Amino acid sequence: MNPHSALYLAFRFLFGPTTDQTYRRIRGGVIGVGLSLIPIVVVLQVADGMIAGISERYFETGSSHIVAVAQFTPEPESLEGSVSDLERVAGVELVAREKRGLGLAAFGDGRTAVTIRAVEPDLWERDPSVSEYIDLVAGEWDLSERSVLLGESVASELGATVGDTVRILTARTLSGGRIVPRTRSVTVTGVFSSGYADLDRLWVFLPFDEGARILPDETSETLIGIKIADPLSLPNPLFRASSREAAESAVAIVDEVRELLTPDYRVTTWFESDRATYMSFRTTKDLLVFITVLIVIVAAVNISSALVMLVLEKQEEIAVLKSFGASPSLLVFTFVLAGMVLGALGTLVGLALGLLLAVNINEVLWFIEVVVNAFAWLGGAVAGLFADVNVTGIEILSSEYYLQEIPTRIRLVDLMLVSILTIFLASLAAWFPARRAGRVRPLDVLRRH
Amino acid sequence: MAVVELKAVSKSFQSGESLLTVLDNVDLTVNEGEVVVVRGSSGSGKSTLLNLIGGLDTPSSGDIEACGYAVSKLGERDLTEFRASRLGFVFQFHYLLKDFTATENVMMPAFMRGMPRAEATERAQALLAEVGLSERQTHYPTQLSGGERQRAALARALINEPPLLLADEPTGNLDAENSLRVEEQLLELVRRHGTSLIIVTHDDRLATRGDRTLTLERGALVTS
Repeated sequence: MNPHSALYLAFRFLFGPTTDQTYRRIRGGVIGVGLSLIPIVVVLQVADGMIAGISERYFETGSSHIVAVAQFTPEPESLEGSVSDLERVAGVELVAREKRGLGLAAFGDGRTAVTIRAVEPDLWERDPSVSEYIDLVAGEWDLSERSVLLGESVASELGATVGDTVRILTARTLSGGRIVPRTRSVTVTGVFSSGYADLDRLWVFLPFDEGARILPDETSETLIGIKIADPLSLPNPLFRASSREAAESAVAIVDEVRELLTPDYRVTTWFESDRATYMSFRTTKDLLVFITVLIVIVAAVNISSALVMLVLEKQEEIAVLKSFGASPSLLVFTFVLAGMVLGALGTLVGLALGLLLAVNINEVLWFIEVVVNAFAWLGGAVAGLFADVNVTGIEILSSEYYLQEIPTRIRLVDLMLVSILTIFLASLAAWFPARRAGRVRPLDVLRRH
Repeated sequence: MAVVELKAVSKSFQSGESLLTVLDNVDLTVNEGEVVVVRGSSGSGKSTLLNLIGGLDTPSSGDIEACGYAVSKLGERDLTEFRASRLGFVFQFHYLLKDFTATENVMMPAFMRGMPRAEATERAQALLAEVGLSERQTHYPTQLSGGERQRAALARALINEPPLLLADEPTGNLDAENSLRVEEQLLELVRRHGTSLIIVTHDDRLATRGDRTLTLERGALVTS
């Protein structure tokens, strides 16, 4: 068997000059595969972008790349000493203290539960990723004495804005079980948003010393946030390390930090800190990919049916080729190759359209919102002539639950895997009609013709 | 030396309740380079005889040996090799592939057998020139006349230089002028290439030009 001749036959059968009827079916198969690939390409790129966007926000603004949580509240000098030790570890770019605990914020008649994050006042300047991921909606990053930065949700809940004085309440439980509240009045110097409402819903930032004063040891924790150059190289199942060396170097940093701080601190990486959250991202993505793969499988069936028709139409040619020495395996291979060619063409179409949609997903969603809302308002206006109708616009991806803007992340490895999978499925779908071609008995066909 | 040898070959078909015997204990030997003409009335079993020799059909009983292959006992793989390397077919209808040019049609049997495409194309072009179609190499079958199609089919049958050519009424669909031309070229080519030819025909003129003429009568081969 000459594989080149099989490829030659496959191309001729698919794109020969007299295959008008076949061509229409083939075009249908290719378009079907192309369209079926759009969801999987968009899901992969958008899900990856969303997961990366949300994860980066989590560990850049929340858990840090590596976090050391003190088992018992350390003395200030001891904490300073640990910070100094960590700053000398090769590969560590930033070390920052934080005290974190629960409290209540009150302003006027409003009050809401908050997560108090007492951080270094100069964190904004020292950590570029904080200023990158935290957006100051109002005011400025000013954590001087008796000042507070409110998360957008908290500010909205309280109705407070820059310049207002809010009260931060914490509670200390005495040995007899009596709860003693502690109140501190602070001035709002800024309102911020991390861009992901679920993350900063309860956050308020206080100066570290202020937090250390009002947060009771038994209901708060002292932690040291550590940042390195390449956090994605730390062990995790979501992202691949940029290189093997980067992964080894990241692990070495964690090991050294653990060696320095154990047993006084529990040291975890960003993934270990919020494992459940990150794994839920991963599971959601896997499920979405599974569902979209089912769509590709259905589309591959289109290729199978297009090739069934092709085999039926080419019965005479197949019989003639067999009478001139074409082996059944050559003919099976020819039609499997035809399926592969159709799969590859569909893949090209699907990748192009999918990527086009993925990189413009924000604009596409905005456009859909505008159109749907325009029709809703128009319908509401017409209905309003006859009845009292209240029309509210829709928000397809509410920033309450998603990022304010969907980031896309194009991973060539994923696209390659999707392409290989699609071509494989198309070839598999082609296998059944191809076997039929291999079984054609020349004499039966030639007698009929 | 015998190229084809049939020993007590019979072929029967079930026709309703009854068994129709088309070939009955046929013995035949065709020697190297010999041109054997087979005649007979319609339905006498001429085409069946060729199909059996070419391995397109299997006999009900008897043995067929062609070019060293026990054709009646071959499996699919050996049958494929036999057809590809030892046999050329010319049918009454040209059976050229519609989506292939004349050159592509002729070169395909060699290309499928493993010959590099460039070499197969070169050989196909030379054969097309031999049958007078050098100007028609890039034409598709629909752009060729009936005679030209049959000449292209003849070139295709000879591309792998088979020692045996089976021709089933190759001029049956052609007018007198084209019949004569195809006939001339067929005989000239097989003589030049030393190919053995078994040709089934109704054509009286062609019948006189073979080395031997046989007639199928009531399932038996009779020397004319």
